[in-house]
Amino acid sequence: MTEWISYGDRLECGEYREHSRFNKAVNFISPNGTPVSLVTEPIGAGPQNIVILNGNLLSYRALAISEHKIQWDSGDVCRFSDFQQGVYTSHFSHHLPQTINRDIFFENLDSLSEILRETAPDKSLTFLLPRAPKPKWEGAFEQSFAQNAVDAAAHLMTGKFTEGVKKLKGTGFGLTPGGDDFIAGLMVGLHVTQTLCNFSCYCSAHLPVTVEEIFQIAESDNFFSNRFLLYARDGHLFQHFNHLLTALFTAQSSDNAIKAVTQKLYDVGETSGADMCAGFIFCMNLFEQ
Amino acid sequence: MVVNGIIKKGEYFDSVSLMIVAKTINQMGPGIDSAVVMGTRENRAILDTAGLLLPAFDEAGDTDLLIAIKAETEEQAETILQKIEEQLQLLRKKDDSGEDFNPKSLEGALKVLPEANLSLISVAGKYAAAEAWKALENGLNVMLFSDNIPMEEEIKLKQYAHKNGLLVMGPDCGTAIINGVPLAFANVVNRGSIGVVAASGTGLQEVTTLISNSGEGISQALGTGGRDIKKDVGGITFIDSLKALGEDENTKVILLVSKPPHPEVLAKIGKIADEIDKPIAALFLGADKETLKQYSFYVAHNLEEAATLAVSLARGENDSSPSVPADELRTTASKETGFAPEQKYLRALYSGGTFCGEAQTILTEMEDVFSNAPLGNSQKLTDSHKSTKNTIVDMGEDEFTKGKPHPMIDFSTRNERIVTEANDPETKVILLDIVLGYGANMDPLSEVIPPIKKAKEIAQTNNRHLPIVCSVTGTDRDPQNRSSVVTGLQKAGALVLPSNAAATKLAALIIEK
Repeated sequence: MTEWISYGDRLECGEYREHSRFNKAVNFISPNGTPVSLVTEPIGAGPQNIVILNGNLLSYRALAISEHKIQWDSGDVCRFSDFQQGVYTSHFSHHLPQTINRDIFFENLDSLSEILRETAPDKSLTFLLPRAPKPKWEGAFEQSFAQNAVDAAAHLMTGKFTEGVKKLKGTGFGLTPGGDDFIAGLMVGLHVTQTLCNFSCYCSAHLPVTVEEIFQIAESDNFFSNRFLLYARDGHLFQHFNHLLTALFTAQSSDNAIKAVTQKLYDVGETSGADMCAGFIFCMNLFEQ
Repeated sequence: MVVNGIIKKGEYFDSVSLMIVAKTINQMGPGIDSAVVMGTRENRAILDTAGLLLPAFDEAGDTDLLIAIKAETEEQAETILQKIEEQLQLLRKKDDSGEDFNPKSLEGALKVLPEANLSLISVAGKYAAAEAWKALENGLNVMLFSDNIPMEEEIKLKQYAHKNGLLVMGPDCGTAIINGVPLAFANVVNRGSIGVVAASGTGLQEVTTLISNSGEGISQALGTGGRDIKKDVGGITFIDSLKALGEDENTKVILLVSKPPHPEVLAKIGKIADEIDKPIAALFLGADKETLKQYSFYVAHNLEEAATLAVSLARGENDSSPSVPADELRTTASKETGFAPEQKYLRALYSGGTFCGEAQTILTEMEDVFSNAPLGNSQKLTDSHKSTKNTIVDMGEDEFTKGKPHPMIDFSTRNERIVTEANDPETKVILLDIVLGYGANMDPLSEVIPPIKKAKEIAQTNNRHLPIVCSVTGTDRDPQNRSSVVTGLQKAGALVLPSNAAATKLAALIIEK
């Protein structure tokens, strides 16, 4: 019997039909293009995710969301009050501690960078981080892609954000191309930088680009990428990334907590989690000074 | 070296699967180069740089999968592509968490069901046309539940279908019954000898259920989508459907249902109808009666009459008497007493757009009628959310459904409106349609009875009498069971009629009192 675990705080009322189906997730879409995903626990909560346990994803092919409940084509009806963990609050700001300690954050960021260098999947964009090992690129596409990514990183490092993002968008492997995931990470980095700025009187106007500007460049017709990018633009993150941010701001001189959360992020796609982490770290490194 | 490749359109593989495919290719031998990537413009640029871009890849979209192979010979490339196809199929199967193979694409579905000849498409409009083309090119008929497809695309699809002996039902075709199988929003009805062509979803539901409830049955019920009978589309699907039913040996009587077609389209329909040697009943809701006389149709003036006529013709008769005789309606109306002097107006709140139109054509003599979808003499409501005098509202229109399920599924917006109307001292009758069947609300009573009771309480508290008149569209074989719903509504104090036409006439008689 299906157990309803949590639902995202960006769910919208409407009727949804199946868009795409994967092992641990089914995506639905409304006539106006709004997405909803039914996912199992390994994927975890998200802004427009409905998380279940013990359910058979095959049973669900369409749904209607109204103010108080979700009605499935299978006949199942679940009221929002039925969800064991209730609503998942997706905005990253809700997952940060009240008191921000920049030193702890950047120390943990170093740990995260180290973890990524050691454990990130092959062919992720982690190689763009300082001291990261360079993958053995096979074939002309991989080599061209890698060179393109290096060129993009060079633009980013010299403050040419728009050029860098243009070069990265839509490139790479996976259902959500790695470049798009990396850009999502950049946007989260800008949000966190903004948060750190507010706490240190550093004028956020010194940031060379806004998340909106990045999104405008990166937006595409790839349904899957676009969701991540849109969420990142608005600061609404999936559970695993929010947990990572919490760990970065709170973990005490131990990289076990961060390692555990990073491992969960690797569960998202083949390289998506790692690519997003890489983009985030890259952005934080740029503004650490 | 030779470059070959394929585009997998509309097939979504997770990143892990794509990586597995890429690794498989790499293991096929030295000297082979490949890319397995999404078809974004940027990836195509990189493919170009890498010498792996094929001209065909220009057609790819951001969510299409591109597989490019560079091999020593054409034969080697073909072999590798074949292996990739097999691997992708395996990956699709492995993705299932259930026991049955769950195809994720049309091609996969056809492998499971090679004899399929219809594809029902319900995806976002921007992807729907592509899926329809895929289906047509595979020799399938199409039912396009999706809307937001440009008219030009609809015309092209239908022209192609017509040339190839196929049908495109839709776009925005919500209802069909094919070989006894209800598709999308549809009801479980008897099989029989009456074939229906309808450019109206709710209209199709009303006539097929009335026909079934009378004891007759449906051979096929084909929806065309609302734009088919416009001049631009030219009635392609309507006419091809009519011809198909004309040739179908199981169809003895044909029933046509729509709003008035464009005169040129009507002329074409009429010509084809004249050539078919079967009785054809027709309801073109709101059409000029004189115009229709020149054709050989048996003309009906509302949905109930159309269904009754079709049943009668199937029985070798010609009778279109209403289900509830006028005398009986008057008797029922006469029992409604206790109105306050200020109660004057009808408030009809419809989930089915066709019912909203039908009510207006029946109430053509009523004065001061307002609607958000006005027909005939009705005036346009200034604010759809606020009734003015006699108000007939289609609550399936955009202003009510933005970000919300259709009112046939989710009653909440209409329930609120029922209570609002009850609080208005000028409301004399509330008229509702309850549409059953697949796709509709599975538990209508639990949702609609509370506001009905509340409305009556409000009226009683204020020394008013408030009849609530309902029609229930459905059969006892529908998941909701029509008889149960009727009984439940009657217990709640509603007046329940077998058709929207009957309910509308009763409401009008009560207003006249």
